[in-house]
Amino acid sequence: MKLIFRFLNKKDRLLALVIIAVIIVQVLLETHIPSIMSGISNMLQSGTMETGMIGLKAIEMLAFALSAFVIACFASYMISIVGSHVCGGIRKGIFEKVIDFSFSEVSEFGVGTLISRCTDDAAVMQDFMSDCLQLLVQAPVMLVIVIIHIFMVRPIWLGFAGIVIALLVALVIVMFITALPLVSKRSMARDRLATATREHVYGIREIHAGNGYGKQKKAYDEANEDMMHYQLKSNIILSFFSPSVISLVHGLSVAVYISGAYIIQAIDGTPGRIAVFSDMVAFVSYSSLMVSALVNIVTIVLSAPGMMNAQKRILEVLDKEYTIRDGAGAGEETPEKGTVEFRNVCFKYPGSAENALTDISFKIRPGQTTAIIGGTGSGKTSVLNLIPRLYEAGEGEVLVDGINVKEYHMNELRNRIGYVPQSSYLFSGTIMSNIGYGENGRFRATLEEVRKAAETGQADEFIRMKEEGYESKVQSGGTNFSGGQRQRLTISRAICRDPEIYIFDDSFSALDFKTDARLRSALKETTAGASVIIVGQRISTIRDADNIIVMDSGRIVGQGTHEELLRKCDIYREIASSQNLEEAAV
Amino acid sequence: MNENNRTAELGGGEVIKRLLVFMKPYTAMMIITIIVGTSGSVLNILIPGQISKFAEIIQDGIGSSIDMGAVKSLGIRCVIILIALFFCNLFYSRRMEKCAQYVARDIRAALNDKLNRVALICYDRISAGDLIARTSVDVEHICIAISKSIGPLLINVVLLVGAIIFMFIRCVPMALCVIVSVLAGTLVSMYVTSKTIPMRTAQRMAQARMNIQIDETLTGFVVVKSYNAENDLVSSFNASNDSYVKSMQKSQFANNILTPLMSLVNNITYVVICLVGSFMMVKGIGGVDISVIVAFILYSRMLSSPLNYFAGILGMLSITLVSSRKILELLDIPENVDEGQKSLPEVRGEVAFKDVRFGYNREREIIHGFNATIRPGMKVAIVGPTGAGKSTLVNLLMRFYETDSGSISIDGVDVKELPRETLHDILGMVMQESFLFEASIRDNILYAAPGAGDDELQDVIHKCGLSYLISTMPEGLDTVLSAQTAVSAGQRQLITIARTMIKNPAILILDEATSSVDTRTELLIQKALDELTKDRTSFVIAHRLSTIKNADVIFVLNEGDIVETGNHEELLAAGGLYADLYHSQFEAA
Repeated sequence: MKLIFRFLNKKDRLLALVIIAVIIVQVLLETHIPSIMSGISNMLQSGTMETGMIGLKAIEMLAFALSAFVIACFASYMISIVGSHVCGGIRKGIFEKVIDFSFSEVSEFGVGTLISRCTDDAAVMQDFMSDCLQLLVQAPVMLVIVIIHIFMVRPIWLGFAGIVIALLVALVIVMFITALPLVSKRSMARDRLATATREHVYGIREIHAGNGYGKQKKAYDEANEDMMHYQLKSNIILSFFSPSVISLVHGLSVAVYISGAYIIQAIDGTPGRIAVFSDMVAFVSYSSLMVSALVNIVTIVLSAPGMMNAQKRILEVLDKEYTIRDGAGAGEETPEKGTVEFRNVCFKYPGSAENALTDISFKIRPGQTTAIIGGTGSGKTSVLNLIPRLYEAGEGEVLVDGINVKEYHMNELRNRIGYVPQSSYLFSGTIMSNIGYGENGRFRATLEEVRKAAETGQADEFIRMKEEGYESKVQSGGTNFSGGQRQRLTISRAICRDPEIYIFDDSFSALDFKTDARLRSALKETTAGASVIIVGQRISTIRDADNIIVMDSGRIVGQGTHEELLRKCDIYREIASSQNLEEAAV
Repeated sequence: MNENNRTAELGGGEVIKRLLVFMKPYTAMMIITIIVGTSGSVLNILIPGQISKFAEIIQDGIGSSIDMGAVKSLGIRCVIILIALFFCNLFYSRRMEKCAQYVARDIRAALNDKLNRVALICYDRISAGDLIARTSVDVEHICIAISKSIGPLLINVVLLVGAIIFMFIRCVPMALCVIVSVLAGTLVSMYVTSKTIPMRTAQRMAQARMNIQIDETLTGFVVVKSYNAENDLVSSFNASNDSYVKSMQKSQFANNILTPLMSLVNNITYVVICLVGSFMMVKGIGGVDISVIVAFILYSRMLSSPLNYFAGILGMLSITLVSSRKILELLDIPENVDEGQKSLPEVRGEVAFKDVRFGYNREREIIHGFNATIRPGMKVAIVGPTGAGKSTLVNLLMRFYETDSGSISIDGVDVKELPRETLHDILGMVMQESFLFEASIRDNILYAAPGAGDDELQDVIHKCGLSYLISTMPEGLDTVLSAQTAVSAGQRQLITIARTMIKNPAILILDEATSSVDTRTELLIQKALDELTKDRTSFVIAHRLSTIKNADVIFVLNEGDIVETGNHEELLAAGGLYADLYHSQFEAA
């Protein structure tokens, strides 16, 4: 409930009060109907009823029923306004929170769970709101008012009602306690089932190649059996409820009639006896109203664990503190345009004990190309991530244009940078919307600019071959393009930003050598004047850089030009020899 | 899954017929359950009659003395009925739940088994997320349909018909009035429900749109952040969210209003019973007394549950139908063509491609009549620009795809004549994209060679340079690899190489096997790989031409054709595409 309250604004809170007031009126009206019937029954028994009177009483009852209905509709309308507003608010709140996360927060949660918290858990909240919100207000009000009615009619029957309520509550508590642990076991089995299915789809070739059908089947069947087991067990516990309710509600009527018979027998005088009898008729109606209110409350209670779990997961996201905060802003004028400098930077990933980067220092001057090379896991990408402040440096300083990245507005900083990450991710939309993606603080890319960027990025050629050209559809992730095409599109996307600093993280790996070479020479023209940072695996792609940084286990082990490094850096020489470059260099 | 449109158009009857197959094993159980459940509903119908008898006894004795003996014996009878009713209902709901869950389990298992038989070419159209949704949500829908709409059908029919019959026995005019009133109410609520369907669809669509936006934002988070796309995304998300709120408000209103509507219907029926009953009682028509009115109030209440059921069943069934179609659609995906029966006890390793033609779709052929014969023990390198069809060739050899025409044979036996398992025992492949299972490192390496001994395992780990990685893992070889485990792309690839190495296949395929490994590590592994390819028929695809210089023969592919064949020196001397590619590798940036 905490989450729901958080997203109620002033207007909603006011509406909520009105709703409660309105529902009290509605229930009062509705519960008055059986007491009219009790009056009718009284008159019928004592023979004082006249034909005209019946019509009048019927109209009275009908009037109550209709006005209760109209008021209830009004309440329903207001509830739907509050409910949908809160649901929208929750979704909006999560999205706006998450989009301001930095990588630390995202990796702390994990992308998978973050997505499911934003989608699945929000949907659970939504279902709870639409199925339970109305009942949540109405059922308790109904229960209380019916109990008052019963009490006013004949307190002894309240005893019977109390027994039924107590039995149901006890039953629900037992069900709840026994079913609750099963619910989490079931969701674990469901996760395992999902993992097995995911592996089946992504690993199908390995399964075929390794004849792993039996293994896959065994793992899946085990999870499947568990899933069924826990689902069945928890549902069987819940299956006690409905039969108990049916028998108890009838039992209540029987008990009232039997006790009624004794009460009447004990009373002298027909009018008194008739009064008790009429109350019994009314009581049957009250008891059914009471039970339906109880059933509704139980429905809410039983859906509560799921809702509470979802709420907890959403609140964890909403209450997460940002680790990277926006700087004060650096303004237009910067002392050293186009430079990037690392001063004794150390960095470790959140939750990790060891440094990913240790004592990194280097400087990139405007218009220069700097390359970073090193083995897998040597920290190349970590260096790049610190420049647009995707992660925060631990010790030392990272400066862009001579100013510490922490002092910039995030937008200001990132507007200067064109970053091509290692994995080429495209968004659903069109080629046009992908190349012109984002903002650079100066212009919105026109078709002309997008085309020019694509030409440099060697993507124009294959885009033109497409029927719809730049308006061709791109599927989520870019799955309808080959790896090489995706890479060229992501490079074009960076070019389109017209940045002062380019960052390429092993961005040419899926290109064959010819395309690679063409792209490189086109890039050289376009990026003239801009600083370029390239992470590469192949010496051939980086050997012409003005400065090459060699990394190993998170440290810089050599810096200089290709020739210098061949002379003085062992690791560089090893890399070069592994690529047969010594002979080619001759 | 566009080709399965026919499944999507299957009629309701056809769908049910095909789903009945899954229920068949539980027929006896279901029949017994339904019989017990139906007896329960018969008992249920008796109750209003019994309660009204109380009213009758009390009414008879109200002026003089109540027959307490009759009250007692009636009370005992009622308690017995109620207890019997409880057990019938309990038995029914537990058993029905069991049947439903068994069927759900069987459907999931069938879907899983199906996936192993699906032709790989169809996998391009299957997304894991969609599949998981189908195996969970859609199977769940069928499960609910069994326990909530198919199972209770007879019970509700008995309740409805029984209540009507009893009412007619007690008093025909009142019965008619009640039926008219209840029926009118049900029709109105059905109408309101039908109005909510398009609203719900709109709501679901807006919701799906937002889910995609969230998914993309988080998956492409690096790009979102470094391209300052936050504002754009927030405004487009908010647009979807606004339309979601609007449609949700409407559908929720329609949904909320059903509850007061139902109580209005109940109240009107109540009024009708009181009005007609009192009138008839006052006028002395048809012997109506208070006990009749009491009985009718109870009967009319009893009607509401079957009527709600029948009003809801259409909606429920339409959801089930959609879900069932989705499941049948999966079961109808084309399967791999028949397996062969031949065996190859001794593999020499001769591979022949004869006029092989293939395209992923009919319009575009990728491989145009490929011919080649590879002698046993040869190391074959396949090179060429991106999209030349290199991976496609080896995928055809693996029978991941089926050739459109022509044949591929091993030692003279067409691969189509070998059972798939035999073929995959012969061939070992390191794939371009490393895939690790969510299992221990040990199980991952031993995936295709479960019988391998510990010595072999250690040897392979050493050769693939995995010793260090394993020593840093918290539980060494038994560390379970999941998405959260810190294993780099290069290390992943090394594990898949180890997996193939320990399998020790007769024929080896390396498809960009070291593309994610840095060049220094590659140099280390290369030795192990060279040893592995020695005297063994092997196919090597590589971007880095340095790794294939020692191949016995190099096929240079361009647009699905072999444009050059020869060894490294010959090809370099020829000065064609290969020489071009080789030199461009060392061209200055």
